[in-house]
Amino acid sequence: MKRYELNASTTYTYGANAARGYHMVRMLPRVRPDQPVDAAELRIAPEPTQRGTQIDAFGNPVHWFLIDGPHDSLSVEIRAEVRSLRTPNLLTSSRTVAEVSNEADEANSLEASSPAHYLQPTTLTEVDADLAAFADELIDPEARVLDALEALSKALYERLTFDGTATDVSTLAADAFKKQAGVCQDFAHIMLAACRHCGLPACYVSGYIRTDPPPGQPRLAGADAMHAWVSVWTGMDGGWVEFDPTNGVRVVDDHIVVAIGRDYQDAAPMRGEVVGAGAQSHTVAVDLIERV
Amino acid sequence: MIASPVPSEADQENDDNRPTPDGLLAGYTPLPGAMDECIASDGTTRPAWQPAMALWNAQDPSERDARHRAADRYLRDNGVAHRVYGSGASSERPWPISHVPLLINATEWSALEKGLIQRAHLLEAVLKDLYGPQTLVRDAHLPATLVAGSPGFIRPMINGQSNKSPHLHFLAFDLGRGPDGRWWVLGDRTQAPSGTGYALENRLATARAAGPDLRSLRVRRLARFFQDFRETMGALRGPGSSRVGLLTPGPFNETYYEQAFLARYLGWLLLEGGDLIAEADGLYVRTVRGLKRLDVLWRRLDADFCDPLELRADSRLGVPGFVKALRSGALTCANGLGAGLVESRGFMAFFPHLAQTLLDEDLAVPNIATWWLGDKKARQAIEHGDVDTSLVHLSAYGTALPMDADDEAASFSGGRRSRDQVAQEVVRLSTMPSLEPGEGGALTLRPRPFSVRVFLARTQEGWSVMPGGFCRVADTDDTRAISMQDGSRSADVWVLDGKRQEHVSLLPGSGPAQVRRVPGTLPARAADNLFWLGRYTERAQITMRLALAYLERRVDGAPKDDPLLITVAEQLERWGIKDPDVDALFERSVLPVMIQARDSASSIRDRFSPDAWRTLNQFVEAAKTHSFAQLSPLEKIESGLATLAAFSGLASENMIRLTGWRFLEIGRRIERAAGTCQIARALCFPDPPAGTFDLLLEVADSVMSYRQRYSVTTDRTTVIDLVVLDPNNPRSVAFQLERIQGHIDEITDHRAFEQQSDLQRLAMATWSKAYTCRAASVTESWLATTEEALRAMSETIIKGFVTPGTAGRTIQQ
Repeated sequence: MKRYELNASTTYTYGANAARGYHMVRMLPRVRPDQPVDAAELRIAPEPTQRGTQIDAFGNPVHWFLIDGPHDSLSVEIRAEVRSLRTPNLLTSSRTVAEVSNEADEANSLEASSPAHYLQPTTLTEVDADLAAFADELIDPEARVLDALEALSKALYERLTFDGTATDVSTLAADAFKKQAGVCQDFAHIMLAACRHCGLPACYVSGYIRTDPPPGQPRLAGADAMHAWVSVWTGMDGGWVEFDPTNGVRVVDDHIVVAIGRDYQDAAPMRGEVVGAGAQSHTVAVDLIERV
Repeated sequence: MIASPVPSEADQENDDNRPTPDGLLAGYTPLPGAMDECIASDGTTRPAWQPAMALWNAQDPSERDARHRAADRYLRDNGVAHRVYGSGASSERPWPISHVPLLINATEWSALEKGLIQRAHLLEAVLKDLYGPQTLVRDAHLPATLVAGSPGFIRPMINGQSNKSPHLHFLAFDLGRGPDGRWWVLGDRTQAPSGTGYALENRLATARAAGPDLRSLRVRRLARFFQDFRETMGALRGPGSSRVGLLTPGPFNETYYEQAFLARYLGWLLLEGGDLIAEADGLYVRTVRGLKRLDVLWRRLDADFCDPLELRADSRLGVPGFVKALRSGALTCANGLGAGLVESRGFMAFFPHLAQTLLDEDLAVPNIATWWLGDKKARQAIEHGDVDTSLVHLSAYGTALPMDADDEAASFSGGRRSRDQVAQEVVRLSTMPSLEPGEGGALTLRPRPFSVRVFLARTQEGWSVMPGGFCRVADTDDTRAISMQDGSRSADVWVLDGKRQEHVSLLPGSGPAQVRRVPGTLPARAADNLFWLGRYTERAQITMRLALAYLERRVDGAPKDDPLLITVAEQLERWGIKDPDVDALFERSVLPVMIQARDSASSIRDRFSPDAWRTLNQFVEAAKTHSFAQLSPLEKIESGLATLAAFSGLASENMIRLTGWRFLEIGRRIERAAGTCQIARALCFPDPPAGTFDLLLEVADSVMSYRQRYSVTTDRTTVIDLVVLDPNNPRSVAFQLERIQGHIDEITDHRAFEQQSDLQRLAMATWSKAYTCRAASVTESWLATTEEALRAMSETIIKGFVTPGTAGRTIQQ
């Protein structure tokens, strides 16, 4: 068990006075049996005209707010205390890739955890010929699914360069793969595209990763902002297993889950529309510190 | 199961005096293996077609040609066009009509109606379950992967308040008839079906082609269907006088013409996403008088574009917060945001079984045989060739009809992605007569395959089927091939009734209607377009008058360095004309402004008399032709001026005096007053060269008025008085100011904007100043101050009324 204190903020500064802004925020840790949230707080400046919370179709808690009136900046700050009860090797699957894919067709639920939602490529996670060939070469339908996924995650970690300038939030998986570079979001999108191409249900996970590495280990990539990784369905018995291709690791208790979805768009930390804001600049700060 | 009546059986009763086809039908031979709508298998004309054929045969060929041309002209003049997405700029192209309608008799039609209404109930029941308890998935009647993979599955709508109201209000089915005479559903349209407006236009055009004989055929009319739909939607509004809106993707959508047409026909507000604001408790229209609540919306925008916050983030067409407002049940959206789900072709594999499960009935009008390849048994059957029919493979989530599918989707990829595909039976369609030039150029009838789109609307009495439809007629003999993009034609559909038809029209004056004189709510965007339309048309006129004055003098032999012409050339340069002696003067300087005017008008076609728009559009289109290019610059300008005069006349004579008209007027009058001030200032001061005052009179179109009032010689005082100050001269600055002041008073809502009272004061002060001024006191600076005041009014109007908070929407990620 690990106990974390989380502080994160995101600030937009507008070139001109914005007349109105409508936003949806997915930044607070998701409550799960293996991830109890002991305290959570979300502060918005300026004070919204209307605000509220709702649960989206993927089970993520969403904070929405409307600022109706002139404002030249917007900041959202969160503070939370959260524990991770996750342990390694809790889940295993002996299925092959092909078996998992066939099992997915038998799903008879549309709940957020159903593999049915995560089989189709989205605009961001469409494969092109290169990415399809890469996935086909790496993922043998007859291989054990966990072995195939380990290999895929490792291959992406080794081949792709972490580069904050190579891509942006709307970069397609295929384009990032062509560049062989990107940020955690691109690593995740590429892995999603490869999995779905091979018939494996795979979902995008957005969250935080610990800022300071455990003693004796290097600092993890993606700790300066919100992080992203993937969760892959490994069959009825194996369930969902999370991989972090940016760091080439299986997810255990260094990661805190915020939201899941089919791609970045479903789980984006902030989505909004502002009217008349002109040019805008954006800063993010994240701090996930383990409390010993 | 309701058996579809097969016309060939009905024909058999007519044994004795079977007419043998002659006249137009001479040489008409049905295609082998296909059923023909008009000619039965024994070679006789089917009863439904006999009276119509007799009429057509009786027509004199030249009269028939004239009528067909009239029909074509009607469609062309009304700008009935189909926007084609090409490489680069999208362009509109005419929608060719086949002048022979599809005829269906009343008995057969009523059986079809029953079957389609049954299908509408089925689709509604499926949606209600999938956006609610989802038992169909839990009990394995529908695969979760098919539902979740469909782009029409709008997840935020699950379990919303909205699931308590109907998802479907308006839908369409694409139908074809097989060789055995049965009708088949080829596809379901539940997202935002298009085609009703075109069907209505085709009816108007075909009625012209048919001439007065149409009445004797007793063709069922369409207006009642639209009236019922309009009344039903109107009744869904809450208390108060809110209007029904039609949400359009905007002028770049391929069926925008139809949307504008329907909005005008039904009397609904044509709205783009930018016209709307969503708040937690509902949806509001940005109007020139602030936000007005909207309770009912007919959506012609695809669901995933409707809300950049919860659906596609890259959509610029939607309304942020729309989903949330809908979920709360605060408004009725027709169709519901998730309704597009059931048009995915994969569902067709399950509808026969779902009809059993949900309705305990068989489908009365079946859909074409469909296998979802995510199902192991179906996949194996197809792979082993156990299915005894030719098949086409299509995306399980797509909506394209088998004949429209691109080749890529048409082959079976198999393996890992088989769940994404369906196999569908390749249907052979029946044929109908189409009038085409045969050998030697004479028109003859030929059998052509077709499909027909039929429309259903939810009314207070239940589902109603439009008695007619939109028919697509192929240009080939291949009974499998139909594609609009490849140049097929459309045709009207006539349901022939034994009864006399009552007359129903949606135009005011029919039926019990309440007198309504309340000004409607004018969306701010429409006000913006009207205001600029006024300014552009006036700007084009001023430019042309100035250029005309210059060119006429040059033609008369005045040298380029004549002092007066130098001043005029300087003025023309301010209006965008670099060298008035250049031939391309019109194309480079005037035409662009005319095109801007036309485009402004195009975005608000629901607010115009079609004639006014047509005048402008025809000119802009004609100006692009080769024959126009052959005209001299003078002729081009004269033709442009005549067009704008006609446009202004039609706009002011035919537009009802509501707020929209006032914005058009203000735009025109501000531009005219400011233009006159500017030109008078430049020409008359300090020392006008000879001929200046005559030229000013020409540009201000006041020569006649001057001649009536004064002797032949012109001088500064008299000309300035007439052109600037005379309140009785409709071209004078003072006259414009008086009108502007009046309009501003009318559009001002004292409660809404603080700056509007300043605007009123400014308008009044500027007018009074002109009203009380003497000609001798009109100096260069007097004119400059007036021009400045006009510019300030324009800016205040733009900020205060037409773009309150709509500028610069940015999506933040």
